[in-house]
Amino acid sequence: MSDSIIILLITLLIPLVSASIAFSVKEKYGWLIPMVCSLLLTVAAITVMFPLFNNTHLIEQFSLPWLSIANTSVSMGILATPVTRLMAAVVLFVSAMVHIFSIGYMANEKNTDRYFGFLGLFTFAMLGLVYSTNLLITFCFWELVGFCSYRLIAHTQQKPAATQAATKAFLLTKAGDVAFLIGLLILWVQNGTLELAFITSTSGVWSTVAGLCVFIGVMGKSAQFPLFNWLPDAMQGPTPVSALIHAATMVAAGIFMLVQLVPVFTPNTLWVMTAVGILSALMGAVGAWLVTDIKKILAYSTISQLGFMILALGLGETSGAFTHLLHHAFFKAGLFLAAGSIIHAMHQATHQTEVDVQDIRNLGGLRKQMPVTFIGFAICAAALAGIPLTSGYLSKELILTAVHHKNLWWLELSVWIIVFATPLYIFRLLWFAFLKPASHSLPVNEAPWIMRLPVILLAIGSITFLFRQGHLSSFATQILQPEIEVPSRIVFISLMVTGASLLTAWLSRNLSTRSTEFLIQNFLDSINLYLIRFTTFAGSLTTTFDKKWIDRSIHTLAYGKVALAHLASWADRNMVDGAVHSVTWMAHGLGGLTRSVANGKIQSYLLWAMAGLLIFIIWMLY
Amino acid sequence: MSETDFLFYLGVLLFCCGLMIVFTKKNALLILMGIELMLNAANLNLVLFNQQQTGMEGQLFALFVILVAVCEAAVGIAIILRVYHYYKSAVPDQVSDLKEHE
Repeated sequence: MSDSIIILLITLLIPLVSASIAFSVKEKYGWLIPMVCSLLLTVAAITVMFPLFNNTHLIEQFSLPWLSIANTSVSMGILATPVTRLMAAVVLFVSAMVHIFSIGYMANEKNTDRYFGFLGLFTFAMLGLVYSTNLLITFCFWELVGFCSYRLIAHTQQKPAATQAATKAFLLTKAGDVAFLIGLLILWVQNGTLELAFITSTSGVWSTVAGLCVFIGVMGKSAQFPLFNWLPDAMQGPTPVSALIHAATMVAAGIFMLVQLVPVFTPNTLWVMTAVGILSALMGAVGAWLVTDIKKILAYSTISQLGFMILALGLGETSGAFTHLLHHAFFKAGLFLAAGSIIHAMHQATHQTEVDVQDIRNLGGLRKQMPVTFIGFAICAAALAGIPLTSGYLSKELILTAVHHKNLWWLELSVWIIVFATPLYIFRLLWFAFLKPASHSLPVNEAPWIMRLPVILLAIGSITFLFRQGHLSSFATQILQPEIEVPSRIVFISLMVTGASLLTAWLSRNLSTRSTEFLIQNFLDSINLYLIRFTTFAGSLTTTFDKKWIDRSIHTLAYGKVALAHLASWADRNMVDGAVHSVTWMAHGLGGLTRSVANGKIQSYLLWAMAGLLIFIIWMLY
Repeated sequence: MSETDFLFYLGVLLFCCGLMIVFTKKNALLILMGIELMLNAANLNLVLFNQQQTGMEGQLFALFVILVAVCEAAVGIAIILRVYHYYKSAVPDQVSDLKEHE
């Protein structure tokens, strides 16, 4: 085991230790949990940075056999490649930020032990998924990630909506996971192994089917069309959890899986991915523009950005998609934590009054009241919009270049629409929350420093200066793909489109925000309803098959066995036992016969003695 | 055949009667009486055989047997009394302590 592997192993175990501490500490010392867990995660986040700076291109693997069935074996181990190191660093950094933020956000809440426990477990599961060398182990962690997100979304149990949202998220992602498992099994049959290092694409229709199945699993996990409706609902969970889900763990797992499995996909699968990506990106952008809930805007924005990444993956621009995933982790976590700060501060200000503090129409004028949060939010929003000097701009250019090289007019048109729509909705959010004159006169105070610090750190992480190492390449692109050339035409058009979008946003800033979210919600829900109906129908078919044929044959087998058992029991009782009984019966009879002489009656003794005497006399005389 | 010969048959008859009484009667006293009957049959034989030769040994032995029979009857009745006292019964069939009970 090399040093690098040991460091990764330590960083994998620290979140688990944090989770077990949170679960096992007594209620009396409950106030310690947030501090200890945050400290542990911060240590892990710093530790994982070390291997990034030396041996950046080294690929190492360490694995132990876990189980072997017949001549196939499954191993568990740690895969250290540039991709996994970067991903782990981002996951741990965002998780540490979320932990620190939660100290302030959850200060007055109950059940912090459960909350921090599941945060730690969530991080552990995601890291396990990132490090795993074998797809079977990956699948285990994949399910664990889904379970943790289910528990965290439903954290506030007194809200029925939270429980429903958690169930919806769980069921929709599970629907995808079934396909994912089928895809893995096909891959196993095709390659004879699930080791990540040996999995390749084989020609033929099965390879396409396997790729599509894996992609359906990713659709569920990364909230892509048509399985994306759970993500806006999942906003019922605590805001830091949303930050973690959107930036580093849950939805990022799907994209990361696609990055890891790039060799598997055939050209046909890639086209499907491109189409789904475009559709999701467009729908997400439209959704974000229509809703008025601050967290739901960010949720739809995530769907849109993830669609953008999947579109890039479909075009074969893996490093662009992965870079965007990392950059997105920083600015989306920053946006969510800033939104959390706003909600927290507004809750403090409004107390018990009946004001929906998540509705952006009730906000406004926060620029003066929360200046630090405003700056952090603005930087992250700029990164999301892809404005130059931010990280989002870099990865966007990479993807736009890939689109440009494909030379397809409809592809370019749809991507330009996405690029145009993104600044539109995020500026609308910024305007309503911070810039617009306040519609209320509440004494809103800035969030405590422990909540401001993560926002600031994440905002700094979204600025180009930190990433920049050479022309138009971030730290991440430096490692993944050192040489990249962006055509000047792309740079020009993208700047124009972004500028036009911002101008449109400014001009239409006071446009009526009549909510059409009911329309979109109903439309999306009906799509999901049809999906669920189809699944139920397929389920009933298989149930009938099960009852008719499988159960029946099992019953026949069982009846045969019982009859055989009766026969054997009869033979046992009558033949084996009978022989034994007859021997004892004979012995008993013989004993009774010999004993019957000594019946305890004096006169019969005398009679026998007399008879004996007579026989003796007769024998003597003749 | 002399005139005393039928007395031998009488002895045999007496003995068989005594034997039957011993075998068949339930009460211990009656069994004792059967034994006396058998002894008297023997005495009759002793007296009869003594008639056919000189000397008095047979008759003396008969007298001796009567004496022994008296003693035997005394001891037997005493035992029967003790048994009755202990078992509340003079029926030998019910006195079967040494027999294995089933």
